Amino acid sequence: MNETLQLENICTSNLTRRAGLDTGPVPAEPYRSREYFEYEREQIFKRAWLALGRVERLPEPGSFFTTTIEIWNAPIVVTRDRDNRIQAFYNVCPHRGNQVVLSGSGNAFRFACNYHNWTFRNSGELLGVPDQGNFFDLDKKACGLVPISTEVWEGWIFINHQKTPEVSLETFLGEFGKRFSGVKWVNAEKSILLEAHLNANWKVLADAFSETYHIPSIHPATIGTTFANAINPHSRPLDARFWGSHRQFSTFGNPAYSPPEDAKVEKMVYAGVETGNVLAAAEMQAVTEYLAHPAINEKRSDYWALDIAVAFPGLHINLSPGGFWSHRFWPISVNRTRWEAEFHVAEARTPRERLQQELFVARLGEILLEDVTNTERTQIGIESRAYDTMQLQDGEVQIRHNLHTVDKWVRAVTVKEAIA
Amino acid sequence: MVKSQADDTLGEVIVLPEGFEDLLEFVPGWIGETAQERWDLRAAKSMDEIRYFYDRILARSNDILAYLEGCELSELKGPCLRLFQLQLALAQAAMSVELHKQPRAINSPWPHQVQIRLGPAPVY
Ligand code: FES
Ligand SMILES: [Fe+2]
Repeated sequence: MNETLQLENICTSNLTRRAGLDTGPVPAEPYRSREYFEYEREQIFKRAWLALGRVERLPEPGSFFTTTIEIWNAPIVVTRDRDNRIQAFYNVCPHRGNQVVLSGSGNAFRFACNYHNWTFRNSGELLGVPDQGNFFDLDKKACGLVPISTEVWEGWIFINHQKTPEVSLETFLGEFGKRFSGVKWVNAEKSILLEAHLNANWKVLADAFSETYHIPSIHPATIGTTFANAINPHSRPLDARFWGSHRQFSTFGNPAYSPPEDAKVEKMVYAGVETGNVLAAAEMQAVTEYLAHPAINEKRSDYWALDIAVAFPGLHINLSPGGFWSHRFWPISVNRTRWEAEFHVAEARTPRERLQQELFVARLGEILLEDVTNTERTQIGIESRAYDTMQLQDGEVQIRHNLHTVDKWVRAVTVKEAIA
Repeated sequence: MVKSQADDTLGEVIVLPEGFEDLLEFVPGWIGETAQERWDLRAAKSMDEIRYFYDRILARSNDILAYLEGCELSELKGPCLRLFQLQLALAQAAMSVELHKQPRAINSPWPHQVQIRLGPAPVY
């Protein structure tokens, strides 16, 4: 009784109704319909701003990386030119279509297509064509790398399939963008990157990282006791807030967590280290500044575990006591998704610190494996058509909001209408 | 002071630094070049093997960390690198011993899709 009363003071209830969402079962069809997936491709992924990652992936002029945007069927290359302009291009040679840049990342001011050696500046212009005289009125100016609409918000690189996007990135992010501006992105220079290709719809993946209801069940050994306790045994969230397509979700943490008696390695590795969080190995000073941001643990709750800031459709930024990390979801087909998780820790200075990071990564691997392996089973269940709906509780409000937002974009004639 | 990082010498291969001969039985079975390799190695072993390794390395961890204390992390090679790779593999062994009480995460498939594309720096 006492515990219920206390929980009400800690966790905001009625998140779903407060968000103006209805409370009935939600449809399973958007997770399994090929037709719906084609609408998502055209209406969402070819109109919304999509986050590629951090600018620190391009640390200096000449830096580049390549990737594939599967849902556009497009190989791309992203560069930082001499003037520090960050720009994405189709990684497609105007000659006959080969990919111009073959390596995953590096530093170069010029790229040479390995098929017939056409060369390009990293700002896109075509520089050289071997035996140009044997072509017919070749218009070199019209044969650069094709640029993709690119904008940067707070160090996050976004691209848009529309040649002239209907709305700017700033308008697209709206209140959400304002709220999270000025965050000190601690340790952004160093990345730890995990990736998986999974046989599941992109929303099944996103859903797996959108609620904490699953934590005591899926993660009993890894993080079960860090996100729940006697007051909140089912890990109800602290709060959830919504701004158009985007949102923030604050999760509950157990303030009394300490490593179990038999976690000998954890204790040995962290001997003499003051760290408030087993999920992170970042430096305290920078972290203190980062935590001072008003949108991070807005309630300044003792029971705060982390905030999930979601820039629809594919970017989840996790803001935890030790630093931030992100998930990115890249649809490939209705039931296949590439998922990326990128973490940031400072470069280790001592063997002990490097070992702490190894332990951090080992644990991450286990937690994320627990998360994503359920997604393939879930997809199989959804595609069996045993049920046409899913039941969502209040703590799963993000999933409902996401489905609502997806459907809004799918139906909206204009982007303005979709983000309203 | 930077401790000596004796390379493999001609004729006589030094596998681990002097004083750590008791850990030779774990080379190369527990030597992975990346965090992903160490994950794969551990996940393929039996609980008995994992626990045996865990007990032995945990007991030597303070010695290993003290030995490597003065080394430049980004320049570890040869016996020192192998010694540290054994030490890092303890993180993997701890997942089985301390968390799952079995070699791999409960209900997780093997092999699986989750890949550490880029581990902590320095990468080894
Ligand atoms: S396709 Fe690139 S030079 Fe021919
Ligand atoms: Fe999880």
